[in-house]
Amino acid sequence: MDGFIRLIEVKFVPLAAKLGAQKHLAAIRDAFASLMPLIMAGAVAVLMNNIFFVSWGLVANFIGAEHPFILWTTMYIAPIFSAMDAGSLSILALGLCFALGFKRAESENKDALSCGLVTVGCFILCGALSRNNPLVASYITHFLGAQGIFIALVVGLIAPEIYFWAVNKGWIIQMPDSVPPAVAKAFAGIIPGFLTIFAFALVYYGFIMLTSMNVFTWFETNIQATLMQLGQNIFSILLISALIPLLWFFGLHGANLMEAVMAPIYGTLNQLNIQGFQNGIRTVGTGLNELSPWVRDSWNVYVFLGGSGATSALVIALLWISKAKEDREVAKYGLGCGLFQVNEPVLFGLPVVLNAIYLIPFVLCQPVMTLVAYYATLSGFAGPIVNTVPWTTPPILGAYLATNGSIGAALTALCCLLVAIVIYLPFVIAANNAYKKNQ
Amino acid sequence: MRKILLICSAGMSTSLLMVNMQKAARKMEYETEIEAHPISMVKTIGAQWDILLLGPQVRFHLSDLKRTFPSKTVASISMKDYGRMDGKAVIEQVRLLMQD
Repeated sequence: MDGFIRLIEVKFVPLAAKLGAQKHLAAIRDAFASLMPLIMAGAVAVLMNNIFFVSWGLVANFIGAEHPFILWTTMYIAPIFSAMDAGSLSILALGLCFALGFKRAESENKDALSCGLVTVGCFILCGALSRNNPLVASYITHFLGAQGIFIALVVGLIAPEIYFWAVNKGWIIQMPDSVPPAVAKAFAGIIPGFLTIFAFALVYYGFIMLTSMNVFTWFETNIQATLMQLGQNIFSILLISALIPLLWFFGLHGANLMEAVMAPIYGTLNQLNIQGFQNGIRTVGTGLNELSPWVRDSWNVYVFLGGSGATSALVIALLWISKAKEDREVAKYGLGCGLFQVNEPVLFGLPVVLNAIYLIPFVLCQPVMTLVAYYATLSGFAGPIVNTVPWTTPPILGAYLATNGSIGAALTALCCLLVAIVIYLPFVIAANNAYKKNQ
Repeated sequence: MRKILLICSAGMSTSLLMVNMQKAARKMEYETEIEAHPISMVKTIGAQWDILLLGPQVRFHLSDLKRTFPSKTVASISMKDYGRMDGKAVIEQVRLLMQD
């Protein structure tokens, strides 16, 4: 066992670390992280409406959609929160391509603001403002939101490269020293900016000529659906679920490393679910105009119970079984943090990291919980995820809120927790026996 | 006065450590300013700090940050100290690194 761990530590960890520090992947991760204020503003607005103020909301379920309170809030309160959507969730792709251009330039020591703005320009000119799809989500009329995430990602990675290439060639307008630096900086961006936007205009032109579609429409018709279906494939989901704790076992932040994959695919599906639900879509499945069974928040509310590796389950098992004083101390501290899905004290304090006893349950429990929650959602026992809740929302409550009040979802999260406890239990007992023998 | 920046994935777990470090530093009468921030913010704000400390879970950014901030002290916190949220030990690490 120790030999195996050492082998992985020598071969696998440096590779993961290298990938984690790779500039483009880091930029994707940082760009998505910088969208948090937008995502949360929109998410809270949707959550408020879905819980309190609309006729299909949680409160309306209890007091009836015809109740005077609901009729009044639908008329006078809900429109305020609905209006927030246009300035938050509906412009995620626009925000993403700016953030990507900005973060890429920052890591290359170039003018971040100019590069970000030029990237937005390229994104828009590809046709972001014109969406007309009678088949899928016909209520969305542009690509600035979730529908445009992938193109935003591609443009956000390519446009800065062209920009840097021109800057590195030295094709910039030099100003005499007497010109204020801010003005000189703006002038420096002129030629690289022109070339970048011109290059994308050529791409736009090429697509129109060859396919009679703009880049966005072409991508949506030919690739997006396949990509999303691949994302909903249970094996892709299980692989991610297993890789996260495996990385964590070596002390690397698994979810952070995987975010570059998870955010574009599952984050997009998350937003599509939120928008679909608001527009009256209720069926769950992987087809057109259906709510996806597995999205980004599914991990937060069903799998990361107490943090990656479902350490809440481990902590409960420890407090139940373990006699080791140190372990109990860590578990007690970990229980409090775990309530808000923070578990570094447990992972590094117990430790779980590089501790051969916990390798198997730590890596195994996430995929098993994923299976339970995936099929519970697909079968309709648990409602689909239609709200975004902060990842620090306590376990079970998170599932209840994210599914807009599905009791089945709360029960599924509880069931996942119990399954994880059962997986951890034999290993906690073994650790405790070893401890007793040493005493 | 030492300005210490703690970095982890979301700035959550380092903020737990931050509180313990502030307590320990006060006890030692070692003057510090400590903040915890997510890794995505580092390149924007890193230059304002004397020492950048990475949580062990994001230590894979160490070499990249050393390259970005060649004049700063950049280090990662040991898993043991981090797990115990041992403010005193990390303050001692800072003093050792900064030779205070």
